[in-house]
Amino acid sequence: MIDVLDRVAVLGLDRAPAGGWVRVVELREQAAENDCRLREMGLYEGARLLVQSTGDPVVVALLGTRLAVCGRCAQHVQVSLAAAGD
Amino acid sequence: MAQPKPVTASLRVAIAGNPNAGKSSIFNALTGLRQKIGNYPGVTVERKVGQARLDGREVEFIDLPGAYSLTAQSPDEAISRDVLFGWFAAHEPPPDVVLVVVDATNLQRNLFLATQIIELGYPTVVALNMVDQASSEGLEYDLAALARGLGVPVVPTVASRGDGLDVLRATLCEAVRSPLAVPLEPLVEEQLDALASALTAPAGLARAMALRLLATPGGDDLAADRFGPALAAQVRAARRALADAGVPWQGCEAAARYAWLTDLEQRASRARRRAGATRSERIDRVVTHRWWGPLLFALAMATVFQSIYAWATPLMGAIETVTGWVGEGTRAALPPGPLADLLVDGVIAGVGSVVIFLPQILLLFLFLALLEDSGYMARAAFVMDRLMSRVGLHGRSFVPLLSSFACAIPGVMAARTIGTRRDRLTTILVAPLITCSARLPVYALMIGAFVPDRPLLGGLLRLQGVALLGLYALGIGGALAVAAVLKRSILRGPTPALVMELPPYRRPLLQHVARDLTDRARLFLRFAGSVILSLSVLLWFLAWYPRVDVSAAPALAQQSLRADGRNPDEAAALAAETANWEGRLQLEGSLMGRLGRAIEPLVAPLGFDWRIGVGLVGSFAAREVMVSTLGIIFAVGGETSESDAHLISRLQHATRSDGSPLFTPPVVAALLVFFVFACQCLSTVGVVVRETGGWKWPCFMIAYMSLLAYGGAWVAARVTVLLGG
Ligand SMILES: Nc1nc2c(ncn2[C@@H]2O[C@H](COP(=O)(O)OP(=O)(O)OP(=O)(O)O)[C@@H](O)[C@H]2O)c(=O)[nH]1
Ligand SMILES: [Mg+2]
Repeated sequence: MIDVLDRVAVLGLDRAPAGGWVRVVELREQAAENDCRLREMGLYEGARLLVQSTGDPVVVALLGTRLAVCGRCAQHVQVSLAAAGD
Repeated sequence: MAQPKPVTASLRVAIAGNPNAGKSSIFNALTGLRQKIGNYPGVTVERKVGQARLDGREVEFIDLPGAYSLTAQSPDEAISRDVLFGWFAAHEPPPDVVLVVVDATNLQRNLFLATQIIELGYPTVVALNMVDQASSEGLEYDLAALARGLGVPVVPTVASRGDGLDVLRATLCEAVRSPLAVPLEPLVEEQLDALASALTAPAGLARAMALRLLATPGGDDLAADRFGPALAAQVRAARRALADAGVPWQGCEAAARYAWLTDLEQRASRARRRAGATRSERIDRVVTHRWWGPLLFALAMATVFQSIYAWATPLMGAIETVTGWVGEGTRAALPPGPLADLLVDGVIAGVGSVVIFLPQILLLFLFLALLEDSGYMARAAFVMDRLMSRVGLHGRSFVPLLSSFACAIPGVMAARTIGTRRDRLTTILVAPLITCSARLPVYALMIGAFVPDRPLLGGLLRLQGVALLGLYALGIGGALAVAAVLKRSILRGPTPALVMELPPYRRPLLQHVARDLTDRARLFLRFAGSVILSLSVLLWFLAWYPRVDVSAAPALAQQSLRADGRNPDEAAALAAETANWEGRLQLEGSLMGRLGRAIEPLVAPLGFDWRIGVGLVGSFAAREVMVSTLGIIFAVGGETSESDAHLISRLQHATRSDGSPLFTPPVVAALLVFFVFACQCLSTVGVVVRETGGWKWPCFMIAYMSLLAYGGAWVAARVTVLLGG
């Protein structure tokens, strides 16, 4: 389950810094409505990912693959910064 | 563990898995067929069936579209779900065995779907594909531990090389049912039990169906469709119960399943991925860059169109020379008369004028194949997404639209990967505006004849290539503009977001590209040898019959020579001019001439004469027919220049009956713009009827494209006049 500490600073995935690890805290309703299937592709609540590049698209590495997420969708993915090792 | 299923008579094996995992590659290797493969998600959008013998048994393999989850969100994923649930067609039973193809470089994400499928309770085998790529990245798995965890056999394969397929074949005969059921939260399980008990299906399948109905957006409608309103109400009640308990139904599966998979991967992993940026990551830093990305894309496109001209020219010259020889040889070998005319002016002029464009078409397909195989396609989708989202188009529309450069039919089909109906419709309706390869011969002929081959920007570009690029750009611009209008009016809706996996870059397989091109060449030549050939014979006949009295030709020839200020007594000039007049009189009096006159009022406002009009009529059967029709008309009509008899120079010298040139700049511009926008392909209309489930949208498409074509051509002609053409 999501650590309480992770909730400290929550920001949109589109604003997460490149090169940093983040953890998905919440998928806003709009993200799902927008025809992107985030959870099944591994961007589920609690997933940990490495932001490889920001902007449009945001490229994240997770589960050994790389996903590109367009800016319109990334802003609805709420993440918290996570430490590299946790 | 469950007992091996004794398999008897014929066996149906469904091949399922994530997009781009190598399903079609395995299908091809098992059946010897040639399904299209490519390095981007969403190549296969239909279910394809192939036979093979396995252990003396007849086996039917079913290649399915890729899916990320059985929670289908787009029509192509729904096909996979329906086949696996036995919902696909009333007369089609569910498969006997399921082969799940798993990408070893991407184990957890692939096993998400794989475990969903294993839970259905069919005898299942997992092919762990791309182990070559995985080991080059340093990944290594304990296959026995994986098989134990999943409860089914796991076979390592490299589908692109055919490694591991013998073992896979043997293992398919020993597929087993697994008792696997990844545990979800107790509250969810409770609701699943209740829902499953209302379904009449074996336990595993019933639980899986219940989970799908519960967790799919629109699952209640699906329940109503499949099982009736009572079950739909039950699904909604279950969702409410979960929401009340603080468990949202949307997220009830992913976290739990991924947690289970993380655990499994830890147990089965022998060596982890080496740290450090991969080659793909380094390339992507440039290719998906905010500025470099679009620049590279534009450069790539410019190169493509440039080389379609520059590289194809020598080959086209060779083909032209050969058709010339064949024509002359035939003429010399046969006694003069209708048969020689039919063969030379009809068959050879008609088919030859189209076959010449084979090199250019193959070049176009070569570039598309490189794009698809290298993995650049998915990146280009994001580069274009920024532009396309501005007009409200789905970023996923890029792949369908790009496929439409080859042909609108696969483009329209590829729109199946788009989840929302409005966006799918928009994409389908504008895909035929993208310049397909059938337009290429028409563009190439007109540009070759009427655009001078001048260098631009100090030789970096050439005018002909730029003109071609411009026509393609006009098609793209038209498609985007129409999409923008549709998305703001009858198909109004939010701009959907784009999330896509970035496949690793791969060196395109030479043999694969070569096979693609030979298939293409064969298709094109078969098309020229059947459709174009028979239409050529028909068109020649229409131009040849009825025979017209041409005795006035010598007098007319003398007149026109005198009008040109040339000596009418010079024998050679007079003979040539007389032949021209004989041809012209014959053509005008023929059935084709009469037909042309009937439609001339319709095309006259665009500056077209009846000969172009006839070509346009023919082009509604297939666009290339325009070229063969012009070939025949100007062969029969005897519009020969003295130097050579190639179609291009015939077009350049073609005149109206008053002696003025036929193809003036406004006429050429109007003709080209007409071809950019016109809906001249019956097969495309057929596919749109099938994909949209009726005639309403195809009729709309034909109507708007015709308006655009006619209006656009008219405007183009006016603008060219204003520009001093
Ligand atoms: N290195 C490597 N590449 C492979 C292997 N198997 C397939 N490929 C390549 O992976 C890409 C995808 O293969 P496809 O067979 O089209 O995959 P698919 O699962 O049918 O994909 P969709 O139809 O889009 O769902 C192609 O470029 C193949 O050449 C493999 O074992 N190793
Ligand atoms: Mg496929």
